[in-house]
Amino acid sequence: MSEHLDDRLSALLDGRLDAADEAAARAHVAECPACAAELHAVAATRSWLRALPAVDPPTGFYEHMLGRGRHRMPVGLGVLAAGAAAAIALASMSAPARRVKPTINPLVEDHVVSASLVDDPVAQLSPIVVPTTVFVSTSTTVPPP
Amino acid sequence: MADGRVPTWEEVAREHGRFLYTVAFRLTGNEDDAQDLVQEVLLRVRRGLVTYQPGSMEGWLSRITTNAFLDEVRRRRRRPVVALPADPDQVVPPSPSADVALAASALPENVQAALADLPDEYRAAVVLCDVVGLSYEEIATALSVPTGTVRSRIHRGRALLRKVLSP
Ligand SMILES: [Zn+2]
Repeated sequence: MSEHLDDRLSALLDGRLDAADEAAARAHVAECPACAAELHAVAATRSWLRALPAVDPPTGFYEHMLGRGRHRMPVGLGVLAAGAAAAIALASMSAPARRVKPTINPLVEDHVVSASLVDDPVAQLSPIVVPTTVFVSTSTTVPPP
Repeated sequence: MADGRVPTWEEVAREHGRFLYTVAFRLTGNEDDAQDLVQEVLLRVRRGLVTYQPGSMEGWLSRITTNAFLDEVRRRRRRPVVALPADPDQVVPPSPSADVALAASALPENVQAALADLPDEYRAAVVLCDVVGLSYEEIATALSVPTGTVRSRIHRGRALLRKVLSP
């Protein structure tokens, strides 16, 4: 018997083998219990992975970012400028509830949440949590406050 | 994009936000890192740091996201914290008892947990193949490796997952 199929098993599942290789692989699987078992196992894993659902970002995640980005996009949470303002920004970005909108009428806020990401209204409603000067671009790594 | 124009980061957020977040979450394995990664991707798009290649929008975004993810992985690795074991089999955590594993093996949260334990390069290949649905060629481009390496990483990633999920 030829050597075991190894990653040709995944290629077989993904339809990546040409006709001759596929026929050879199927013939091998028919005779080799080890490869048959591995094919079965990998096929199961593959189907589980493909069944993974889409993941929604936290409510308001993009709205918040778009509203703030209209002024200046932060460099990235890991490289924010130091200081108390950065700490506030970090806290506001990592807290489970992303939106900090104390001054906005709840009805308006609900509308924002239910509406799709429309450009201008969201921009108008999104609060500036931190002074925009915090988001001056920098590539320096900052120690935790 | 149908018109071949580089999309703005706002268009990406508006029209592909859920897709982008899903890829980021499957790659990073947790919400905080997924959000950082999404933000980094939008930043790269906004700054024009990514070249647009005609093709599927999802393929393009997946490539940017994976590159940003692996950049971060490499950056963290440069710090002397935890080195990637030479033998990927070593990183497979102890298996739960067989009956528990068999009963719950296909639950998305269990699949996600097992995915998060894969070596990063394997996880990237598996996510691009089975979560995003890219072709081997697209994955090879995204990861800058030959298609043979893609095939190997996908297979080893799947096989490792299976070991964890149902021994
Ligand atoms: Zn065999």
